[in-house]
Amino acid sequence: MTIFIFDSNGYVGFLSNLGWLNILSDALSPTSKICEHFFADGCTEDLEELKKALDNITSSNQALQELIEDLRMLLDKCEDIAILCDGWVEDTDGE
Amino acid sequence: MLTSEGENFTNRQGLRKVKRIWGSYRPSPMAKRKIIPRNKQNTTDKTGDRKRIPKSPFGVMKGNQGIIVKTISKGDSANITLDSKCLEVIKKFAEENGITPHIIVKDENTGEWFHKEGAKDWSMRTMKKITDEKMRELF
Repeated sequence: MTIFIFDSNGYVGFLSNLGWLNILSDALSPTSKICEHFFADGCTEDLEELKKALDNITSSNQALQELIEDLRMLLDKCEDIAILCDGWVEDTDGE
Repeated sequence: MLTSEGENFTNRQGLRKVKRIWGSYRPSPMAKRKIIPRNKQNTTDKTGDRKRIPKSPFGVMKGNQGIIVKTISKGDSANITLDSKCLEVIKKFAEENGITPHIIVKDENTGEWFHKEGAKDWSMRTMKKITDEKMRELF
């Protein structure tokens, strides 16, 4: 499964695949309550708090570090809410 | 529903709706096991393509076949499509890396599997039913 970030306006950007989302979640969830809730709920309205929580987090794993940076960049683009989403939506054209 | 045109999710009702969408579209581990034998799946999950290309949109790789598996949970509508901007990301990655993209959808309402090759219009109405046997042939 592919994981994208959506906000109240829809598509924001591509994050990763499900496997790496799990790695990202395992790495970040223990670091703060807001990170834990974000990955558990799949969304958050507390964007500033989440961005603040990610501020000083680094990883020695280069791939993981790049993903954390991607997440930060995507969160900066989000308005109002950040949603972890697989991108599937209701098909209105077929009705 | 969540569309690229956007419905407003800034209120609490919207947030609940988002959570419901997220909750209802969880992938099924069963879906991956249909394609890759369990003993090999563990290896792929831990050390496979995912590790080499973390920015790959494909959850499963077999040779140059990139596979995305989607499960429609019981009670959820099968009248779905992949957002066009999301599909564009998949298409671009596939083209740049010489990957043939495939989508496999399992509808848990009917137990049927659907398939489409190529990154063009991934809506359920354009996918074809696929048997387990045919799926093993393909992958």
